[in-house]
Amino acid sequence: MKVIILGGFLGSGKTSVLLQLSRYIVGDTPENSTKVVILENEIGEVSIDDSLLKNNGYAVTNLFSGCVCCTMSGELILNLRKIRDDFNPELVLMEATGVAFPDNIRTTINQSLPELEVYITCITDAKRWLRLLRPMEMLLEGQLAAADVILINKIDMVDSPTLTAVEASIRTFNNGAEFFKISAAQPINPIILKTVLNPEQEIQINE
Amino acid sequence: MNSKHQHDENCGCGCHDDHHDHHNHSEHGHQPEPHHHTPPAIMVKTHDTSLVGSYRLTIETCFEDAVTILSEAQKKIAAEITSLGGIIGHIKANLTAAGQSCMISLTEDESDLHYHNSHRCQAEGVAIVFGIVPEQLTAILSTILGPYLNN
Repeated sequence: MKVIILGGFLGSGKTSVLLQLSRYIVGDTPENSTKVVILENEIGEVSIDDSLLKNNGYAVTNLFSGCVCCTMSGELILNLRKIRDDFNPELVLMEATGVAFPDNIRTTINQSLPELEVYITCITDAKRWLRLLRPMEMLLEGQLAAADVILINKIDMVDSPTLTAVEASIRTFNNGAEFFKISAAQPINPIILKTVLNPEQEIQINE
Repeated sequence: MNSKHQHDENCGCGCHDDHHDHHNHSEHGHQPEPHHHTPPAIMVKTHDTSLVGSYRLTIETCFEDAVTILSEAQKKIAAEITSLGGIIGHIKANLTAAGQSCMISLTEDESDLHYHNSHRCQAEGVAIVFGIVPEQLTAILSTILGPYLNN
């Protein structure tokens, strides 16, 4: 069972990417959902994103009212064990909260379930990056630091010089990840989705 | 999600903070049993440096108008937070409409169907922000969402 953690700051587009990943995996038949389980973590007292996913036909396990990178780490392990025992899917797509440190989640999983492969894709918001950088630097850096894949999202909402500056800034935090520029409001290149799902295969793409 | 839910001692609904522990009723001389209660319309909590304000609304109008009302309310919330020097993390809500209803009435063998369109929408939302204090976020949510909060 492989776990893909989708991390990134609030509003960066994690749920939009998750929807496209889900469609890519199961095609147009959500009944074919035995291969993948979606695990949602939301920090509020109400769950928003899982409603969107459920309305798109997917079964979703939701951990809300806390963050699995810290206060709810025990619940995360319990749920992953249950998912493995009940469904044994090939893949768990886990959307972290927008304030989570994905590497903390990976560490938690590795400590309790070392047999699982865990990869991190971090989604960043090109439009807000430069505005958020100074006040949110520690959080943004912590979210990006251990990512295997980084998606720079909302590139349709910034001009070329801004995008160049955003990418250069992001690369100061993590220059070792696979980088892709996307607009999750549009269909994402399937090769990019395949890379997110299989970061260990180091698929090359000409952007 | 139902506005009234069953829960046990592991529930993360947060409602337990405001009343005594109903899950250990042995001191009262009766068996513990699941209970129902309505969560507060606004809940504001802190998580590290972030403030998380959750809200539940009922908007008594058609879906299209409710979308406009909620969208405008979210913009006002964002503007207030920004004017106080805060940073918007994410303000989002899920709005649903009750839609069509039908009352089916049967006496002997006569079945009457009474159709009507419900003009009631429910919303659940969250505002995750930085740089202001919980009292400020509570006041902003209460003021702007006040007419629609579930009480």
